[in-house]
Amino acid sequence: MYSEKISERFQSLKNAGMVTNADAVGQVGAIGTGDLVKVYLRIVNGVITDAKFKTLGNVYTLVASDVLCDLLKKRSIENALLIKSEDILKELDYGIPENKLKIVDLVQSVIADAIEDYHKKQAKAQLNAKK
Amino acid sequence: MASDKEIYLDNAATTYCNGEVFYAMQPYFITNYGNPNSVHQSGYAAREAVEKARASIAKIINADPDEIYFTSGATESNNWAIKGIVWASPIKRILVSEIEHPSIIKSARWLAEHGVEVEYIKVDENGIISISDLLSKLSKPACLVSVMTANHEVGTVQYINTIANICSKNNVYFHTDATQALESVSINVKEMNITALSLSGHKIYGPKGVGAIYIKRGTPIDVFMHGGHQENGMRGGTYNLPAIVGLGKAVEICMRDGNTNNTRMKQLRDYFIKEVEAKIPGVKLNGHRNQRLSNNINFSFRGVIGESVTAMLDTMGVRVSTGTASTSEQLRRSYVLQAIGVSDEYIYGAVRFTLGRATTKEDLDYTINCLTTVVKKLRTLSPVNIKAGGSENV
Repeated sequence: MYSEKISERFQSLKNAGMVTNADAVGQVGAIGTGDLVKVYLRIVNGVITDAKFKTLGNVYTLVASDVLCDLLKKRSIENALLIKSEDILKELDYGIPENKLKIVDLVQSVIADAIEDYHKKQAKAQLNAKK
Repeated sequence: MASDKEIYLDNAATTYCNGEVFYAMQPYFITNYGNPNSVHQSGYAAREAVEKARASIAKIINADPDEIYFTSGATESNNWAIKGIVWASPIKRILVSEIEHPSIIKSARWLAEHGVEVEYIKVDENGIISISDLLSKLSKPACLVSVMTANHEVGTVQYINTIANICSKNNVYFHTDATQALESVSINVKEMNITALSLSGHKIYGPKGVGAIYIKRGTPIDVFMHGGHQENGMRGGTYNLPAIVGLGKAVEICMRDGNTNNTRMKQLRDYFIKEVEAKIPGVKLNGHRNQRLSNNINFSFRGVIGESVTAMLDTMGVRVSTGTASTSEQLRRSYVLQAIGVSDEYIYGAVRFTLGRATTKEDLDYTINCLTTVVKKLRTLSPVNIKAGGSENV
């Protein structure tokens, strides 16, 4: 039984999709574990201006991914890294059962992966600029 | 967001209680409430009702009434069968199939922790027991083999006759859990040499909380539920009189209408399979295509997770399941699908549709439409690209 908040969110996922030519792409999980989360970020002057997701997962994974994208928007990269699983849970009124909490940790962990990708892309761009 | 529709396609989880069953039970709550063990008129009337139900159950599997014992359901029957037979046997070794219901698997694991040697018989990609594996495992003495008549998740029906005969030739007792199969598979315990068989009320349009076990006369088996002298001292506890009457009636209806129901459901099942395979790409039918329960369909959809499909269908009024209700809440990976070798890409995308006596073709058409929409929608959310011939779009 899903909470009202989770059901509503699941019915209208706001951030599903991709950002074309994203400045950063984060990916965690695997098909073989039943959860695969991918986020696409648009980053302008060190601030996340858009965030979208594509997720293979159950209702909680999809909803948590959607909430994460909301939390990421308008944040600086440094601030984005401060987002905790707790913040996602709070947005969902703590409506995720205890045995599914690992899903939220997985979704949260995609931030670091995306920022790492952003740094790599930045370094590569700087290198190209020098050439 | 909730739909006015109510299409129940989870009949392997439980069925509604049939009206005839309900009315047969009613008097035993209010007027004929005697204890079947009492030695007065109220007790005699109650006893008569219990014995009538027992006779019906015996009849459907061709047993004798004194070989039928009432229990609280198939879980108790399964626990009793495998623990009771091992406890009473000097040979502490049993074989169970790897796709049994948790009430067998967990009982077997518990026995293993208590010194019993347990081995799991392999199944093929369709969920059919490997006879060669069974034979090779029987080269060492065992006291019991337990193989379910039909699987609760993928619906595969076993060649019970062959397995029972092998066991009989090897002097090993054979138990089968017929919970899912009572209406659709014809069973003759005498001809098939079956030692013990479990069944349940609420899977055959009877009440919940009642079941029975057949134990072949003369089989050494220890008592599982200690208590009063009910059931010849074999199963303690006051008779659940109304439920037992209901179980008896449900079984009578299975005998009366079983053939008609099965023929109709098989047609609906095959129609559903054909339509889904034609309309939705990237689907895989789990279980055997023909050797399966007349009401079971288990499909895996590539690139989506079964739990999301069931949640979305639920909002559209369609009730289905990702597998066994109790399993999907705890373990995300179905051990049944794993045993039949379903690949990673499909294992989490499984959805079980189990038809019932009330299911109509219109219900299925609506479900197919919803399913097509839901799978399409979820695939747009998924990072797995199903068009790319199976490769992950990363």
